[in-house]
Amino acid sequence: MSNRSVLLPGSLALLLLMLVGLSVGPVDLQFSQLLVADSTDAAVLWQLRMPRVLLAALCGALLAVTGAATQTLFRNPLADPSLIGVSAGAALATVAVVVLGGTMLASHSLLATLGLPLASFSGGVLATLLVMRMASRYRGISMTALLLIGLAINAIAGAFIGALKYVADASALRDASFWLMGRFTEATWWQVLTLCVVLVFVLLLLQRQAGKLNLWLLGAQEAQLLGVDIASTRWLLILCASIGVGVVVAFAGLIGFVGLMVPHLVRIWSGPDNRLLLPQSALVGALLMVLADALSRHLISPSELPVGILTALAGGPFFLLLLHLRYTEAGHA
Amino acid sequence: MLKASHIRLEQRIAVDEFIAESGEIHVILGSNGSGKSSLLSALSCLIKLPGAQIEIDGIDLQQISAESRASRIAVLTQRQTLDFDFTVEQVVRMGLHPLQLVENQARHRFEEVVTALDLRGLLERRYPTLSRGEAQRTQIARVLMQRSPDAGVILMDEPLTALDLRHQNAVMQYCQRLKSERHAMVMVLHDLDIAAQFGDRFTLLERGQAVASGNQDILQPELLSRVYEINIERKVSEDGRLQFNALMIND
Repeated sequence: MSNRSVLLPGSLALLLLMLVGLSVGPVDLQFSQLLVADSTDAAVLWQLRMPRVLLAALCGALLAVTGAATQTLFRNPLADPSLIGVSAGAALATVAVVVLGGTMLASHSLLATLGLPLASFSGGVLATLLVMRMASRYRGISMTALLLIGLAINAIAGAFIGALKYVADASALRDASFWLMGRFTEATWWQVLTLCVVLVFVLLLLQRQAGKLNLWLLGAQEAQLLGVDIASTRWLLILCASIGVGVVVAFAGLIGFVGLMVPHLVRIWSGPDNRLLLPQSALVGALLMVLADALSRHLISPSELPVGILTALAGGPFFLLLLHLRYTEAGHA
Repeated sequence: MLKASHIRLEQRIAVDEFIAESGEIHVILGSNGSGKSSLLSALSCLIKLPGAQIEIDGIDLQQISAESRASRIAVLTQRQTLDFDFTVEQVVRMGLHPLQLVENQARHRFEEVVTALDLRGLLERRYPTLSRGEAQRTQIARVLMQRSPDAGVILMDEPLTALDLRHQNAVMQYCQRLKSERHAMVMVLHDLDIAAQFGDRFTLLERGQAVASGNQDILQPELLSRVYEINIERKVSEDGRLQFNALMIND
């Protein structure tokens, strides 16, 4: 448990991977053409691939950071926004806006650009509050309680989403289905900018409190006795987790397990100290997501897989492994 | 000095006055559910009680921020769970958070606490892998790291739980030494012999009420037998120490 940091080598690897990500795709880009104004290659690079790769990186970073924040909030290393229903809450809110308010959104582009992330964020906050409210009835918020509540919320949100898809017209249905699988196909520079602002905001807020978040992990009473204002810390975590999940869900749909996997990998490497965990999670999350995105475009090229399918494919077994280790090693729930 | 008055919480606790003097160990005794932990929660301001007054050297603890409270009063609660892989050293150092110690002081205190609680060999161990006794010593160490640099207050709820005899002795010896720093120490104990040996003052709780408070003269067998609802004998050993013997029934 040393203070090993992956920040420097990680940043280099991220840059490298992003270059790889930029070069993957149905069109082979010619380097000589890239700086020529109005060339197709330049357009592909600057309007399609660049925002897409950046979107993937930022979503990965935010999902990892919000995963770490959610685990801290519930004092449970297996909590993840997608497992405990927070992402589903955000998704339900977004689908509802898209399906029910489709025509209104189409005529007001400002409403669409602001409305979707806001709806998604609100859905995330509501789901978080609901989970917290229900889980804290059980002493100490046990993992079993948390996962069971998550299961229920996911099922309920899934049912409503299903109902909304049922009443949606064909194009909205197709949109919603692909979007729910998680995808970066419609990346825009506006989204990149928004995510950038949100990531910096969330990361700065959490990083400033990282020392206190460590104390928070000792327990609500213990943290309070060590001088932590627990009400404001709780709200900080809820706010950061919900904003992060909200914007990611609004722009890229449901991408599961990144928030669970990445902080775990980082903890194995450098321990649970939030001061190291948060920035490193952001970096590793970005790395993994750029990689997953490149793979999703490469594997069945020229077509592509929704990236959420890839992360679930890798994340599901990973989660089972974690559960196995936890139950066999520590022997407690 | 810690001074509290009018501590009342529903049916659980009704204590009119509680005083812990600086440089003394004040032991709270009583059977399960008699309100010992509630009293400690009230003293540590974890539960806010309307009408109660809790002061350290004239400062009303309920009126100051959690942060400034934490620099005056260190509390060991009964149940700790920590599911994250912090090392013992990291957990112990968390106690320093509310204090503004210079690096040198902090290191000196850390060495002292780690030695006293026999944690040297455990410093690199991950907390979730500790045995209950080891975890308890780690938490005690964290709380003792948090003690105020001036004469402050230390509250400990059953610090000796899960500790073997040697480490029970180590904890009590260290607390004994801390008297010289003029802390007011309040602890809930179950072992009457240990209580009598290390305590300076005692409060006996029965159904939320303080039925007796004072020096070891209050530890009379009749009263103890009534409070604990089991026959307790008291004798004085050759070297003048009080010893208690509960008559366990085996049939």
